Amino acid sequence: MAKVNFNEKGSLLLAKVMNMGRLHLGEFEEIVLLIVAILHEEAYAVAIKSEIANQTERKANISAVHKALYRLEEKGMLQSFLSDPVAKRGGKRRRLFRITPIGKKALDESKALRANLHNQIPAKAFQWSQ
Amino acid sequence: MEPMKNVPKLPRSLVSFFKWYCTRERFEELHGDLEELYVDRLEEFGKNRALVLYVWDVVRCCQPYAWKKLGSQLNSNKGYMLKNYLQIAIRHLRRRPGYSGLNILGLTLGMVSSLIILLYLHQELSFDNYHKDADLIYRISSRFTEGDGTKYSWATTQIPLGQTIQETFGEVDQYVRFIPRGKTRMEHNNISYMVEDVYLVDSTVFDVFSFVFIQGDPATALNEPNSICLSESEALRIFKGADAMGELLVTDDHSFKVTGVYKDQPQHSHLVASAMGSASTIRGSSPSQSWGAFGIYTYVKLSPIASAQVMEDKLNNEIMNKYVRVIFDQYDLKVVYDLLPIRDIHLSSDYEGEPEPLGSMEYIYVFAVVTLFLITIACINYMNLATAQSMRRAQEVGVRKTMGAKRSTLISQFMAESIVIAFVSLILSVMILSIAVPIINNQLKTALDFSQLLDTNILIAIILILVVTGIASGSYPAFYLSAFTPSNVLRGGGAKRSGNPWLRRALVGLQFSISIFMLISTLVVYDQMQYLRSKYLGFDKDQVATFTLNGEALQQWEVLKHRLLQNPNISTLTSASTVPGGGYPSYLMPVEKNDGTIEDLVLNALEVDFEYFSTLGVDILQGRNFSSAFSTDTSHALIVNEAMVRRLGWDNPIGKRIQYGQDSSVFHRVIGVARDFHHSSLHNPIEPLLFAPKLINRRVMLRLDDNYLEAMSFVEHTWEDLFPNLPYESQFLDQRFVSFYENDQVRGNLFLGFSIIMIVIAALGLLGLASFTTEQRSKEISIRKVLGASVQGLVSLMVKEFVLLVLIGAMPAFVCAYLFAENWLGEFEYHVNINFMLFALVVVIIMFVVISATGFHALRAAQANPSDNLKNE
Repeated sequence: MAKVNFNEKGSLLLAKVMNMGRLHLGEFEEIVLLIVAILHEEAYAVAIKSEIANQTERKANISAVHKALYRLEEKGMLQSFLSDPVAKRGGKRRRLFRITPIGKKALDESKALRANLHNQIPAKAFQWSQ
Repeated sequence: MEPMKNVPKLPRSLVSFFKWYCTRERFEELHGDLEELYVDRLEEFGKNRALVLYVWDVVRCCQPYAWKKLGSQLNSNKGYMLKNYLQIAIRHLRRRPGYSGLNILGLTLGMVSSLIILLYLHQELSFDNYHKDADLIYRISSRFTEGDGTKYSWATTQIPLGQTIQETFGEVDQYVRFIPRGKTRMEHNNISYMVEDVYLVDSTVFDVFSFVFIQGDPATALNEPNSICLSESEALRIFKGADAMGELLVTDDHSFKVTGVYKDQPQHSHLVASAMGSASTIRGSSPSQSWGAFGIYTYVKLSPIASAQVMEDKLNNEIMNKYVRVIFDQYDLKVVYDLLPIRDIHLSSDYEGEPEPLGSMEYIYVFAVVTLFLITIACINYMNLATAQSMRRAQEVGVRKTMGAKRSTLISQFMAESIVIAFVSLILSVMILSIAVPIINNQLKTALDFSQLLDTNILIAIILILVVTGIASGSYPAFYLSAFTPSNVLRGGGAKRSGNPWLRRALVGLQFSISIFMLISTLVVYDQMQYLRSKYLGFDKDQVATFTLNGEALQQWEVLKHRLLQNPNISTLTSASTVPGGGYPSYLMPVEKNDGTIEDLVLNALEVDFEYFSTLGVDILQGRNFSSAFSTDTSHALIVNEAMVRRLGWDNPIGKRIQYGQDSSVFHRVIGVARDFHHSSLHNPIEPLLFAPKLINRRVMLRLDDNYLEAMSFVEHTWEDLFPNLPYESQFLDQRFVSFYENDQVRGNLFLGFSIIMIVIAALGLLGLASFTTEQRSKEISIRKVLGASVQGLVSLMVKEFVLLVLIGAMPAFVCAYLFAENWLGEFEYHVNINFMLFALVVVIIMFVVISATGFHALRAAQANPSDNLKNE
């Protein structure tokens, strides 16, 4: 499998995002981030797109996936590197993504937030029969 | 590696489209994804469907993430470098706050002054441009040539002209006449107000000129006789906020109904009207309807396709031949009409009788040059301080070059730095300006408008100043610094020189040259102003008060005169048709020449009573003064001034005949010749004048003794006692004369301000430079001191260079200043001789500034303990 060459600028970007303090994730971004983590080492746009289709039964256009990936990378939640050339792509390389600690933190925060909100729902709220 | 499969064939055009919009860095991964998808779909859906989906993907991918240059994200480092440049620049500024402060302060001072000048120039150049049809509006003015070659030109024309040409020529869309009524007394609710700049105008005025109406309808406001429109401020003054519409205003000879209130005209108007009454009010009565009387302003709006040149030719042929030459040919007086675009009036008119003071194109150029000077001096400061400090940047340049920086990137780095500094100065300048403009307007009696900074032309000029300043001041340091060779600077010692000292000396010399030139020129202007104020005008203008008789006061003049003369503080008083400084009419009259023949000539005439010459203190050189002892004096006598005698070429003026006045059968005889005196400002030569006797006139002049304040209050009380309803306003004659030179005075003040700013900027630069050079030479100074040099000797060693620079810089400045002074003084009919003491004085002042700026640091360095500086070796 491909050698992992971490982006040199990774650490700089990390610092930049750390300063921002708040980690915000859009809904689609969260899904992409989760799938990148699931696909570990195999996460690139086409694979992510098909995984989204498999897991969520929703069809995302490849450009939407690209957009989310680059955005997440900008936010420092993903790191990326280029793979070896792939024949299927006319000898072009893939950009592989990998979740960063910040990405994990964002996922954790998002999960905790939802769990926290869930826990606060009074039992009565789900009782409709009168 | 995965096994090779057949590479899918994708339409070339689509691939290249994709390649076109995608950045190079992203192409591989993005298009790779698309290709992979295509291959997958090929298997799943077949070729056609896969191709359609591919096209769709290409379209969908056309988004910012694909185009965006990868500045701060991936491979490129441009964004980082830019950030780095900025950071380094800020660090340098911070490390030497003193120098940075001097630099920015100097640039800011220069920019503030330039912006002020810019505002002033913009105002001068935009006169009358706010009228909707400004480019189509012309004023008709007249030029005259008399038989003996005397020429004069008037801004005015005759009453019938406007209507006649509109009826005759299709090219004239509209015309309007402005009949000046000057300062007019208006009465409302039994209170009198003096309203300045009152005009009677045709109802077409608002078709031609753009006035903004607050109340009333411009289309109909002046249709009826006895209607009047007021400016907002005048309406507010008279009606104190109450509704002015429909109210009555009564003047000495008419009464008007207010039918409109318009916003005050902008400052940049060649004619400002406080009130405009309908011209139809006086139809049929005065003033003269004849083609022989030139007394009103005529404006025409030409149709957009008409040519002004053709129109002017037609005026001078058809109209002139039909109406004007029939009157003036017999007197051998040639008249020519000029069509002057209204936007040009303010700067290029040379006509007499302009409604408002004019500007001058020459001063526009002068001020533009001053701006250039200011910016140059400020830029030189920047260059000098930047290169002097180059040693500090040398190592940075060396490291950058070693790491692969190209010269061009270094140049743009330093340029960007100076543009950033210029920008900071600009922002500071605008902030300062917002405070300074009202102060300047107040102090210098200017009317600059801060909000004009947002005008497109000014904005363009500001951006130009910013870029030029940035590039001019940044270019030398940029090229100089970027030329360092890394091996030299990094080894140490190679860049010990701080810029080319000769170039820096030349620049400093230039700065002082400019400063000296400006200061000398300013002082020459001041010298002349002083001269104008103090020059004896041929009559005694001090302690002469003047006021105007109107209405009832004119009829009761004898009573008033009698009461006033009882006050011991009033020695004499006189009434005349005009006071010195005021205008006078000219009439065509038959005059006896030296050889006894009679010729028709246009002469300036004043009507004065018998005490005129004694009140003003003007001597009668030949013959005698008017006297009540001669009963024929009121009807048959005349006095002329020396200039008139010269003009008419009389050998023996006494007894010469002139037919003055309406009665063509009566010849007046000259009984005396008065000494020449300056009736108008010293800008003009002494005009030939004729004084005709008349016992009651509108303007009164009183000669007061030293208790003049008491006398003035006595006059006012007497007036209020006799005419409680009439407004009274008095003035001293010398104040009147001072007001003639107000424009010169304002310009003088501006110049003085700018010269001081220039010197301050140059001194700031010098201060920085001196502190830098002394710092560099601190070891040398310490060694010299150890070897026995005195503090005094050391200081003079360091100051000497700058003093020499000033002396060398003074040479070209002297020449330029002399040329300027000669040229400028030549504009005045009467002027001071160039005072060379001023030149010396300026050099002394500049020398003082230079010695204190450089000496301060030199002294500190010379007094320092040598061991402090030398212990590091």
